Amino acid sequence: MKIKRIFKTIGFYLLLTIIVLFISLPLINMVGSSFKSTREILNNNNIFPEVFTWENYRNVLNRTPFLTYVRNSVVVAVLTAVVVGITSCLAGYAIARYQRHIRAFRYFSKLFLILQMFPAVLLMIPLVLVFIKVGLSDSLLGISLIYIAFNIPFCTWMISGFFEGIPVEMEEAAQIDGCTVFQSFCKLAVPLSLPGIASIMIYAFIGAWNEYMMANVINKSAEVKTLPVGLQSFILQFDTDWGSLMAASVLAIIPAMLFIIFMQKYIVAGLTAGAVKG
Amino acid sequence: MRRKTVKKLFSVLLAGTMALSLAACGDGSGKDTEKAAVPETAAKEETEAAKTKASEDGDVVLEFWDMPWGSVAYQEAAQALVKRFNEEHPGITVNYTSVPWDGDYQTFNVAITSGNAPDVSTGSGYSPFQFDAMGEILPLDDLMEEMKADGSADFEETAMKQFVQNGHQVAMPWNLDPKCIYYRKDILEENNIPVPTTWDELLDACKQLSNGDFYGMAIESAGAWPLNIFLINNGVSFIDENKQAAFTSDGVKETLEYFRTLSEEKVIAPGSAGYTAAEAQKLFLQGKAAFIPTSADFANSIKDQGEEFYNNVELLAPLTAPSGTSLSIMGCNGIMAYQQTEHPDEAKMFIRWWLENSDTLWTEGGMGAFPALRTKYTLDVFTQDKFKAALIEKVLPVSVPLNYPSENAFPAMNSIQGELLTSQACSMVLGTDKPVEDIMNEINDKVITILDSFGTGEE
Amino acid sequence: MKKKKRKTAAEGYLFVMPATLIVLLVTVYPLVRGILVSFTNTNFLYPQKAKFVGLKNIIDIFKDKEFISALGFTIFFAVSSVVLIYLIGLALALLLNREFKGKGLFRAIMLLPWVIPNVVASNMWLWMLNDQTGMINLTLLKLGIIKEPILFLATPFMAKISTVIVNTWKSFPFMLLVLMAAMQNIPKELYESASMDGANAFQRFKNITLPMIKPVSITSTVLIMIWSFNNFETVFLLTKGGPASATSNISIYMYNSAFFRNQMGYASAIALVMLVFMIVLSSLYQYVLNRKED
Repeated sequence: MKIKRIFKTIGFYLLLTIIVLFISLPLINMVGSSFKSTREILNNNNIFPEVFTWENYRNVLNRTPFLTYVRNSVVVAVLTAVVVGITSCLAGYAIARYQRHIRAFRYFSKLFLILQMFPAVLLMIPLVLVFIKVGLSDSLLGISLIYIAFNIPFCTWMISGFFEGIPVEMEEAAQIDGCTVFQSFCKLAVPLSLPGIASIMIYAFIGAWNEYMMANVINKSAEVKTLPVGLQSFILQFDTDWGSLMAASVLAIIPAMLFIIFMQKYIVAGLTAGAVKG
Repeated sequence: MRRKTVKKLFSVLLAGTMALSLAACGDGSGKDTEKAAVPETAAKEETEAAKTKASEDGDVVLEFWDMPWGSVAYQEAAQALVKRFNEEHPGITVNYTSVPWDGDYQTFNVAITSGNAPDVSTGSGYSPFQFDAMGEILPLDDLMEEMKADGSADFEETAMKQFVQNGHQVAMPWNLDPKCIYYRKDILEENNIPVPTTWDELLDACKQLSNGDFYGMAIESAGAWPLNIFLINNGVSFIDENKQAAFTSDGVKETLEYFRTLSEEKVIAPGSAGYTAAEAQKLFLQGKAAFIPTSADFANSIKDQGEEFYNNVELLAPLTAPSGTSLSIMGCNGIMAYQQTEHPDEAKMFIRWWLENSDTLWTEGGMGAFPALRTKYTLDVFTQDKFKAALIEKVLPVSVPLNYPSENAFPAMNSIQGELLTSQACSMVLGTDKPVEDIMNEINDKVITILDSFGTGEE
Repeated sequence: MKKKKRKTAAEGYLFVMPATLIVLLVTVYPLVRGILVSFTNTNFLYPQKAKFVGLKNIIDIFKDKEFISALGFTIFFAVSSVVLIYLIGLALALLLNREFKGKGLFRAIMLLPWVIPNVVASNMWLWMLNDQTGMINLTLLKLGIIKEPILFLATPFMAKISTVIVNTWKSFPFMLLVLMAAMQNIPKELYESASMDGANAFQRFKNITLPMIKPVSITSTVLIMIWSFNNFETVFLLTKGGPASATSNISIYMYNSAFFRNQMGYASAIALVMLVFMIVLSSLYQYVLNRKED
């Protein structure tokens, strides 16, 4: 019996490793390539460099405004994640709880979903027009606003599902004891939905982190460029500075991963809270 | 009672927001005339206000949008050059912005339609024609005349003629991007193969050299410049002198059939139909191919591989095609000014200054493309490099752009190139069994559709 | 009782206000404008000559061969992606549904496909799938699993499959995380009591797991379907729509129409058609699956 269990455990971790490998194959290639000179990237197919070099990282960090791009992306993505988190939670909670009372809310989710479906490409021109008029172009606030607006629908939809999963009785009991809706929202619903909230914040963060088209069209000056746009400066018309691109991309992943790992803490915290409730 | 009030309040707010956003932005009728005018005027007022303020401060501000003609070194050199201009011209400040290639047409289009165009920009070959058709390009006739008058308009012939539309100079020739074929001299010598001068000789050479692991030619289909190289070499392209669709000509058929043969004789990698330029280049740099039709600036990567490799590679002189022509293809990119500029005179002056003082972009920036201004060819960067010198001597004189045989370009070319029609043709020839006739007709139909969509605007 | 109901309803509106405000302010004008433009023949080059053409654009769309083939591929792409992603996600979620060391780190790694910049991820996949120099072919050849390299991107058929593979790589982690979260919420007692009643693994899965993850499954598959339908970058960066336009999907076609052929009106109409299509599809989908429960 014990041997069976050992095999099961080994099998489990083997599966885990295979999955992780498959997921991170491109990343492994990227990291390996980032330590190769561009010459080596092109003339062999090995993952790991024959001649290890920091040259690409030096170029990217010292000779380009890369750190500015990182700062911009972090500001935009965190702002997006936080604002989306707050507004979506409020809205999602209302939709989950008041669907029965307010007819319109049942269609709200549908409406939000529909808004998500229209391709951003075609919304661009009128959107940019407006933003220029009100002075929000070429600014971090402007692009954040766009990302927030584009992410609220999905996040609201998602989080309302989570709130629906929380039994109403608990909150009603609290309210009979004198809590306001807002208090039961903050003290009961939110802590119990931390995994969901963390998830939507991660989602909004990544959405803002990786978006290219809008950021490219709206923010042009180097002080406000975000990472996906900044990476393009290594891509020429018919050629690419592979070494720099690899190094810059590896660096670009780090802040995002840090945010995600930080958020993971809340997913765990939420689960613990859930255990208490159970 | 209270619920009704709140509900009412809510719907009023909703309606109000919608009305506000619609009203604030002109009108919601969908009529483009009004829409284009109102936001544009308003946006223009804003930019005018900003510019007036600058003039009040005594400073003319020019927005210069440059494409990444090179990576880190180039962008450093370009910014340094702008700084130098600003220092040499107190009272004018040029702001340098680098616009990514990916989605560049979109970027310019959106900026222009929203009244936010730059003053000056460099751009990919056919964009000035597009924007000129929209009435957004500042004609540079007087600048060209001025340079011709004092003898400094020593531009490459074809490029000079290229940037003319409706009798106006829509852009000054900025740089040239020739394509060519590099080959492994040492491999040919080892196998006693003479350097090919015709398509048949090239095919024979490739057949002799190709075996399981080694391929005669490294071809890519994503940008499909190899196909463009051979099409132009044969004197044909998508259009004829009258700018009509001509992809069904015999010359085109010959070229497509040649490529089909390359695939059938297995002298190119079987995956070529899906290759990007980088993948074909990898093949060549890893010593798995003998010939590579590609962009001239691949020479930088060849040089990067070290002296031994560099010495083993040579530039192939343009072949003599079955039709008897020996043309080569190049892209011509321009530098242009926009109608929306508040300072046309300063913009033109800056363009001239940029053209004439751009040496550092090559000597320090390592730009891969060639200057359209021939006087620059005397720079060491060109004379000391065997490839660049050979290109200037043998290839540029017979190079024409993709709109050959039409002497000047026109807006539809932007679409023909942008929609990657060559790539579609190439991948169909190499990746499917479709008869060449059908491929020609299918692509030709697309050319016709594109040409039509650029018509007079009447439906 | 009545008084409390009215009071809480007011708060409902208040809660929803910030989100609604932001979304409306930013997206309403472009959306309405976009929809209206689809009924005109707006052309970038001649904005002054735009006029209302009613349903002409929409009729033209369905007569357009390029559109039809793009639609065909888009449907294939979306459906295969969703099926693959759901099955793989479900299987893995089941297998990984337990506490283990490093679960948090694992979850973070699962999000890598979303965090890696699109342009680089696609290039890496391109290089990995190459027949001569790509890691996948080289490894498979070395291990003797295949004799000839697989042409992942050279033929129309394989290229379509490859785009689905890359899309799956990009999106299955999301499905996995969502399903894992959903399964985590299922109280262990249900399984324990079912075991005690003699249910085997399959029965436990069918009668407990599946129903409990149903709402989440439906919403996440609808979402993946929408994303795959609208996908532009993943496919474009990999194949540019080739070879032979085999992987040219609706977004790529629409992009070409709008920006290269300057037909804003036509392109917007395409977007409108796709929008309606997706609304109908997702409503139908949800209706069918929710009805089954009754």
